[in-house]
Order: sequence, then structure tokens, then C-alpha cells
Amino acid sequence: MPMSRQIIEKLFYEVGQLTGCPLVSSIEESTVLLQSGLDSLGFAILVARLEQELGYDPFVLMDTPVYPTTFGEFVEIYNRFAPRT
Amino acid sequence: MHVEWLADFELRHGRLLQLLTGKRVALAFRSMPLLAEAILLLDGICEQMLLLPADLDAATTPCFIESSGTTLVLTDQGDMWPDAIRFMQDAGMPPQRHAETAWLLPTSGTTGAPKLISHTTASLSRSVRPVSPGRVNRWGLLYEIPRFAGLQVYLQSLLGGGILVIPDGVDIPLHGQIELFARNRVNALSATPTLWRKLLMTGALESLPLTQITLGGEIATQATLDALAAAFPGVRLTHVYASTEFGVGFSVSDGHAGFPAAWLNDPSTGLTLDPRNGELCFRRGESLFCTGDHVEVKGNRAYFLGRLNGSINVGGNKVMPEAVENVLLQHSAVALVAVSALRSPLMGNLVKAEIVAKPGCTPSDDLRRELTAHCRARLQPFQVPAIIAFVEALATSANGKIRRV
Repeated sequence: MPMSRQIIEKLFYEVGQLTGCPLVSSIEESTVLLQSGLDSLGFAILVARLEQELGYDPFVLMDTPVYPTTFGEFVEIYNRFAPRT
Repeated sequence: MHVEWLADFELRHGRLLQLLTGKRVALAFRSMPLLAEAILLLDGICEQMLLLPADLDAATTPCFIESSGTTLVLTDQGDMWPDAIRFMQDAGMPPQRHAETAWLLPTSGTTGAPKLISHTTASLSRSVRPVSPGRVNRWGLLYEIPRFAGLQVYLQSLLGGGILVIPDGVDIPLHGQIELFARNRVNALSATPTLWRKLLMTGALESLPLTQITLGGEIATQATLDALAAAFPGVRLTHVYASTEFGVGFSVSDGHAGFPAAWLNDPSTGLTLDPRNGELCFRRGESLFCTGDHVEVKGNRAYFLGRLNGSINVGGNKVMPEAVENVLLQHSAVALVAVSALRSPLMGNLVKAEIVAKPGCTPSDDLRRELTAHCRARLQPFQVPAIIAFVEALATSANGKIRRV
């Protein structure tokens, strides 16, 4: 869903700014998450903010833990676990 | 307390040992391989060794030097410690042991402020596991030796036999350390569950032929254990519970979170639960050590629920809610605040703050950003609230204290 990608990207930059992490200038599907500038604490915060915004945390919902490596995989996980409305 | 500062000169080991025998020494090293060598040399020679982590803040170090009665500083950094003794590598003969050296390590302690804990080689090596015959563990060192997590790996590799691969340098990025480990065929690694989750995200673990995975410092969740078992079929998966203050602990290698309930009230383990609050305690001889950790028994398994005193474990870092509340209360818009733990699948926990704004101050995204920046300027990154929620009122307990969720 294109909506969640925009939200994720917007919050990504906001969390980066709030945590003082220097982020890459543009984020693509193939951008490797842990090379994007956001550190693991930043990621945890991003996931918490996304739960506040979107109402769910896919990492809590999943049965078998899946760890995304790229931004594209990260967004895909959010799409996959989006609650059916 | 008078600290003797010697002129900066380089000593060969023999001369060094003469100088340091029976003394209380602080070791301030940037290079972990050199520190590893210095410890081996000085254990059994000095009366006491204070291990100073490189990341300890400048204000704490002189306090520790003073309170420990340290009289000499040994270092590999002449420029930072111009009056200390500089340590030189030297392939000399191992010295005769004279004494039972006391090891002092900084730890965050239960109040959150760093303090020194005294150990002996006996108490520290209590957790060292004997290694199966024929097995050679090639350990990677992910933490500084003066930190408990690093020290455990250092001792395990020395006393349990095997090889220790030590990254040498300042602030080497994680992927650089993993690459070093891969080049050196590291097959055993110990890290916090949070670091393991991060390593799983990087995909870098694929390059390591791991046969021993150890988790410690935080609660090892079943999900993380399962993910590691899936990534390394057949790996020996161990999670350890250790109290840095008491130097005690145990390890679990059955692949399940928690530990067997049967270990409780078994005289050979010394483990018991306080029935009033579910606190895990160790009985050793006549003494009872209470760990401050909350354990719950479900069926034949005992599970860790967290700290009883409410300290929040963010990726292995202890956060006292009061410390964060005090900072937020310094901001003019904050009337009341309650800081609590927010469960995080990645970090274990994050910090959450519920704030009642002062009359006339409007809760908004801008205020949220301002409060976050206010915290960032005064606290460590892991202490800064990940989520700030504005509420109308805060729950208080019968005696009027803020009730944290």
C-alpha cells in the first residue's frame, strides 16, 4: 500500500532528526537499513512510532521472526501484516 | 588519598612487575589485545586491579581511582595519562603468582549510577564452562574487557581453552568486527539479545561458522532463540543469567527461554523465589542474595519478567525512570510525568513518558519535539523517551506516588 510507505519514510526522517542520526539523503527500496544512518535504537523508536501512527507492530504480530535487511523489505512487512479493514 | 604519579617511561615486564607487586593498580587501555596481555601479567601480582572501560566518562574515573585506593595507573595511552606508566609488549617469562588479586569493575548497579564491584579470579571464573573434549572454541570479542560481558568472554577463552579474536582499534563499526571474526573463523560469540537481533538484521552472521551462540545481559525471548536456532541449525544455544554485583549466575542451553522450574529450591542450585513478590534469590551458605529480578513460574518453567524496582532495560542499558522524569520536570511545560517501559521486539524495552502539561501549554507535535530535544541534551540516547504521550491525569497509588504502568 503506497500510504504506509510514505508514512514510514516520513517517520524515518523524523526519528533520524530526533535522535541526531545523520541519514542518507534519499531512501530507496534497496537501501540497506543498518547503513541508512539510523542506528538500532533509532529503528526500535521508528517501530514504536509506527505502531502509534498505524496501530500495529508487525514484529509483535509475526509468528516466526523475520528480520528485514532493506527498506523495501521493511515496508513489505508492514504491508503484509496490515490489519484487514 | 594520595595517588603516586610516576614519570612517563617505558618498562620492560620484569621491571614493571617489581614496581607493581602488591600495589593497587588501575588499567586504562584503549587496545584490548594489550589489556588482555596486561591482565594476564598482573593477576596474582598486584593486590588489586581496577579495570577502566574506555567509554567511562571523565568525571567518574578520578572518583573510582580515589575510592579504590589506586596508587598507580598503567596505560597504553601516554598522551591521555602523561604521568602514568606506559605498558609495553614484551615476550617475557610468566611471573610467579604472589597474591590473590582483587578485580574491580565498574557496573551500573541497581541505582543506575556507576559503582565499583570487587571480584576475585575465583568468583569471576565460576561461570566459565568446561569445554567438550575435541572442541576448539574460537571466540570473538564484541565488548571491552573491562565490561562484564567482555570479561566473561575473555575468561571463558582463557580458562575454558580456545582462541580469542580481539578487534584492535577505537570505535570499529560492527560490520568491521564481524568481518574480522569471519576472516579468523570465529565459531563462538556472546552478545545481548538486542545485539543478536541487530546482527540477524545485517545478514553478516551468514559469514560466521557459528557452533556456539551465547546470549546474556537481557531477557532472552523465545522468538530470538528460535530465530538464532533457525539461522544456525545444530548450534549450541546458551543464554546466561548473571548478576554482576554478586558474580553469580547460571546458563541454560536447552533452547527454551527461562529456566527449568525444578532448579528452584534445589539445594545444589541455591535458587529460590520470594513468595511475596516473585523475586529471584540465591542462597550461598548462610547468605541470601536477592537479585531484584522478577520471575514467574508457568508449568515446569520459570520465566524472567523484568526488574522488580522498575528499572527499564533498553538493549542491555539500565534506565531508572526517576532519572528521566527529573529531566522532563525541568521543562516549563511539564506539570506531571510518569516514565515507564514500552515493550520493544528489537530492544527489549524503550522508554515511554506520559505527561500532563501545565495549564496554558498545549500538547502538540512541536511540544513533543521540543521535549525530546530537551531530553537529548541531558540524557543518554537510550534514556530519551521513544514515545511521549500527553494525558489528562496520571494514576497514583494509595500513598500518592506516581503509579508507573
